[in-house]
Amino acid sequence: MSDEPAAAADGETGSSFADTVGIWMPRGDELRVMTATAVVLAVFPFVFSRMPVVSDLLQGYQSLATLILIWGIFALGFDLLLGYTGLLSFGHAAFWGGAAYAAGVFSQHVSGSPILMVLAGTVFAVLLAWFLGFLSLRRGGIYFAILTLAFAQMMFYMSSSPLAFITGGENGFTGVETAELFGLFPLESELPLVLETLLGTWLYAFVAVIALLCVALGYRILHSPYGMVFRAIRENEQRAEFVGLNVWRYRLMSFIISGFFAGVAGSLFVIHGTYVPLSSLYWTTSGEVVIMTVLGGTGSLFGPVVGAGVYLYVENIVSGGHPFEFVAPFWHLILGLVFVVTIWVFPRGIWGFFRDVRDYVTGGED
Amino acid sequence: MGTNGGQIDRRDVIKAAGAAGTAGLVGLAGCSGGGGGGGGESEYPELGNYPIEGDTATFGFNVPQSGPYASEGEDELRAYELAVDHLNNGGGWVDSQFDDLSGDGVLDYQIDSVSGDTATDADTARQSASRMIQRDEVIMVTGGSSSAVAIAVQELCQRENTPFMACLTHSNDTTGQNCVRYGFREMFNAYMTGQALAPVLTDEYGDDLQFYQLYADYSWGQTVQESMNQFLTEAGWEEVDSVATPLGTSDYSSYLSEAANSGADVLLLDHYGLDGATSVSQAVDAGLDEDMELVVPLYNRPMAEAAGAAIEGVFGTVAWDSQIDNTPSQEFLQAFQDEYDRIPSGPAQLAYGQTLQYAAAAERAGTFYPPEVIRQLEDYEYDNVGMGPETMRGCDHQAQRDVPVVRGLPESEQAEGQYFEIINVTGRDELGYACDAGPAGECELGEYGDE
Repeated sequence: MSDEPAAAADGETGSSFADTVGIWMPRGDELRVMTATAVVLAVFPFVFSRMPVVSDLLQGYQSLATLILIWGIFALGFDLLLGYTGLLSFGHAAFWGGAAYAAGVFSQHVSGSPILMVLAGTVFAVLLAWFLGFLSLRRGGIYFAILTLAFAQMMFYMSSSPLAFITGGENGFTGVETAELFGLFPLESELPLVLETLLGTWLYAFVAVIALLCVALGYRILHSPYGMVFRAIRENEQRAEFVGLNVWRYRLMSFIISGFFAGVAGSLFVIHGTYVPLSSLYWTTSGEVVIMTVLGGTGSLFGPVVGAGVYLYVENIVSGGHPFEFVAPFWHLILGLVFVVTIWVFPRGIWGFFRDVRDYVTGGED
Repeated sequence: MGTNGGQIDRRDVIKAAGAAGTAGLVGLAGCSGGGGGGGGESEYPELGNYPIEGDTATFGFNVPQSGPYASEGEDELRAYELAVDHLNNGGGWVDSQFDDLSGDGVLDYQIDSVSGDTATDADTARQSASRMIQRDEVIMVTGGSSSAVAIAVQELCQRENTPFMACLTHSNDTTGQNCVRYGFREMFNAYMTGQALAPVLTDEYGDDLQFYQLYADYSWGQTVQESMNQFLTEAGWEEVDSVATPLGTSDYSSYLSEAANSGADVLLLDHYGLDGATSVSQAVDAGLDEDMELVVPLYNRPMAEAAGAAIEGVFGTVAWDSQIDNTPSQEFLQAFQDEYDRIPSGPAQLAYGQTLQYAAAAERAGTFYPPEVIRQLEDYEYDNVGMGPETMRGCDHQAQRDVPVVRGLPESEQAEGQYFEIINVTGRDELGYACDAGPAGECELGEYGDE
């Protein structure tokens, strides 16, 4: 069950590995992937919320387009852990919510600059991931999942009561004060000229740039020898150990990287919503990201992002009575059905299905 | 197409807001000087979802359709739809109580609506409200049934310059420390519940008693706990302890056994919706009502129905009840029954009243321009929603109104839609607090949006 396109790409990048001068240079397919991602990110809000016929069919709106990207980053990072290293964490809400609170509190007391908020939230999430990973990774499999769940629930409990004077308890954190981007552009304001039609707001542009960087980072990690080790551990932990790799250390790093993405996403979530709900630390949030990732397809870079999009579409648009008014109260059920049908018909998720179709059409050649 | 136009509106608004700056002040002076001249819509700048594209104005009904408050939400939605029907086609209070309303739409606009599920969760509610405002371009959002939800949503509405007519939210914070210019509350709050209940309880059960509280651990429960503690302590009772329970708890037995062992005479269950029905039923099943008196500070018809026999003799306050004997109440009861063949709950009356109240304010303002509608609602005196003479106070957007105190009926006397009797309706003069006292002291409303 190895990853054939990824393996192919690794062969190409191997030679340029030592080339430290060109560390920022795109390698292999990177340029193509990045360009394609940038194009999709640039037209997505337009197609989703403003394109004459399509947006009427989809009933999308700007704010949801932004939210999909944010959850997409979260799911992407989660998949690095689940799909590539093969570790199921059930406590990623700790990093998402933790970063959200950190960024929120930071904005209130220190600075509302969006970039600094993302930085603050991410640093918090990375440190937390390092600490929790250090404790949880002592065990594997189901024990690991339960340990992460337990730690996340502890965080939830802490912010619901003992730390309510900071977090606002059940009311959530309402004191978020986001400043202008670079001190110039209010995030909610529209972009100039044609960018306004395409991207909409500064907020979307900000999130899209970060999403693009995250995709680049994810792609680079996965196609590096380091990412190769992650897959080796997933495939056969013992063999990886006999080769001389320190499995525990690689796992911890994978966990931290995944916490990094969750931190970036969690901070953006606060900037987007200007509010931190207590439920951002609840286990349902951890569950949501697992579902998004599996729905889109584990072990792929873009699958989780697609999964996040489908999930949020049902949660926000189908629940509002689209396409049929009577389905609105049953949106939870529809979400369940979408999940079951997807997993049943395409076991490798939505993205996996598309990949299979492509391989079928092109005869397996890329 | 409509969506496309809306985006342009909002962009222009922000441009105007950013660039004009001080020029806005001049505009404000002009508007208030004009004195509600009415007439052409174009005299106001674009703000929020104003002006409305086309000839249909859309209201957003953001109610819990899942979660512990789902049955309250269902009843609210019925009332909202009834209100929209009456606004467009006449009927109910539109014909009899609200002289400002014509029964043929509002300001030459037909009224349409969209609904969303808050799932009794602040985050979901905010996403849902943001969808209504951004995509459906609603001119007003209303809903609630959880104070955490109402607080989260009204804060969003303030940012988006879209009025929010709070339905059922009882926390002091909604019009206290979390109050906003764009939010209005018809419902009374926990502070007033405390003021209304304390004399009734001391009359009924005597002085110098000890009480114990279990409260839902979020905004609403905390303020109920504080207010009940404040007023019962002032009345001479003593609090033994108060314990927080998470929202959506299904098993209260460990909390209840601690309460039973505390030696208190009275147990206050500060829970609402399904949680309230569950905790009071479990308290009665555990035999707590034999040694202690039970009080549920805020309850309503669906809760009493779910609790059944357990509600017997339990004191509390309700938002409104169909047994209240005055013309508006009976007219609403009749209209609701004609439409749905069932008796409306308190939240339904709030939902219906708040929708018409907004529409009437827009008629008086002669425009949907939010700051003008808000000015029409502020300090407005009315006597047409079945709760006696009321004032929508301008300093904190809290309605000053009567509070009905009720007691649960024994199962043998319960009939369809009648689960409690009204003990008294505490007049608004005996309740409330000044603009610089109580919860209102912490309230800073924020901007109208045309400053």
